[in-house]
Amino acid sequence: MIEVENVHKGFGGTPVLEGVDFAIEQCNLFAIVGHSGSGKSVLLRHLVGLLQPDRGHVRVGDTNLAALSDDELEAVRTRFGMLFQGGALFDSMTVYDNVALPLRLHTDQPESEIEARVMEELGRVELQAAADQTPASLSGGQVKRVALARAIVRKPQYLFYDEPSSGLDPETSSVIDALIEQLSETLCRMGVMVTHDMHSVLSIADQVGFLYEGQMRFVGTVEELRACNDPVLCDFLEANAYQL
Amino acid sequence: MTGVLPDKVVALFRHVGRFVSLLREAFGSPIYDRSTYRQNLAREMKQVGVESLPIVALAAAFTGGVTTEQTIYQMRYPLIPESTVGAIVVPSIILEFGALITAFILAGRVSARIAAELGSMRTNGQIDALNVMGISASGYLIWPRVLAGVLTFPLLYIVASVVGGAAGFGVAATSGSVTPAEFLTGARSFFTGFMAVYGLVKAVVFGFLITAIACYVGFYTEGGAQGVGRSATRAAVATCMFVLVADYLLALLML
Repeated sequence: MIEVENVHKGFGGTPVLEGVDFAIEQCNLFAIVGHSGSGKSVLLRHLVGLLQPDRGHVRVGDTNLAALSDDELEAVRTRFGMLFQGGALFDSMTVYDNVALPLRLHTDQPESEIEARVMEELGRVELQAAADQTPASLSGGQVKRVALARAIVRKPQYLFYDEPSSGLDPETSSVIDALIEQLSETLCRMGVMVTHDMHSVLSIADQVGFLYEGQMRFVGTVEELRACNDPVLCDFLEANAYQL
Repeated sequence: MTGVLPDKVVALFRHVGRFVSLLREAFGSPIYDRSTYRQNLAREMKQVGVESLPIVALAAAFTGGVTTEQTIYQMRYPLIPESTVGAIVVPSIILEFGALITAFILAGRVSARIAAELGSMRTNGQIDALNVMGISASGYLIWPRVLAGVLTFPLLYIVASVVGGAAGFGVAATSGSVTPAEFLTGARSFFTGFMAVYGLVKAVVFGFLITAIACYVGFYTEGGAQGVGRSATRAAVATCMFVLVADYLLALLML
């Protein structure tokens, strides 16, 4: 379970998060939506410990991330997998080496086992044939799929997705959505997704949080979101209706 | 002004604090996988050392040649023995020019590359990706680069000194003003083992400063492409400045 309690964060005196609260259950995919600049990515960075709140707590399981030393935080993060907006693959490595990196650095597995695991995940994202290519030779959608394979190669308990479908055509977005849904449902991974893509949210999310002016203005299921009666949320949904 | 100290002084202390803290974190972090680290170290040593070799040798050759020409010009009076040229040129190269010329070349070539590389990794989210994977990004990225600088710079310094000295010898021999034998006599009579030790100590210090400062600047890059460009420039300028300061302090301490 991930619990966010009264999280406040500001930069240079400008508040970004002003008392955010919500909780996510295991096996659930939680989508954080909101206008540009509403603090979605800042919130996601708190969940993985890349930022510490000025006030409040982020708990992963029973662990308060802010109370951990660097070494302890590194240990907790071995249970995380994250898909970054641009993929964040290492240019100097091949696709195979990118996916193998977390295994090589965190496990004592022999290379044969690492290879089997890497090829399994590249198979899941249908990119086994690209194993020897470098990220520079891949399309945007392929980069996202490789990044997803890297995020899940250690079978993390928690998965985080930062704008997984941004910059992708609808067809490729659907492929990524299907993979995320598969991870959440069949493998029971807890997922948190920051996105602008309301089509994805309504298709695959279990719960939705609407971040507005630094606070979670709405937290509920997709059905509750559809039946919105909050004018601000309704305006947001209407503005994104073209995606639905 | 912040209190009694000017803002720039406060900023300098802040940078020094962050620099020390980053290095402590980098060198205190676990080595996750020796084979990956060895590969990274080998790649960095190739980029810092092998790929810098031609330009370092070229610069050292010209420096040795010019130093010899200028020394011959200044020693043109008949009462000064010809061997003085060798006695000035060779120790100058070993004590100063070998390390300093190499440092300036690496400051431009290596520090800018490292800062741009790490800056680009920062802006593209690769450093965050390492951290989220539970890997200490500072340890994984900084450790091999700094170690490569410390190990490779002394070798480049030796090459620069040998090539610079040989170029000085060649220029002296073809100048008609100094015989090769006189040049070598002068060089031998003033050369001591301490000079080589001093030069190697400088090389290690410069190698550390050039790579560590570049890593620091690149690691904390802010902004997009502009930020990466700024970091590359800052790293080159800062390493040149700190190399000069270190050069002076080492001369005070050791000579």
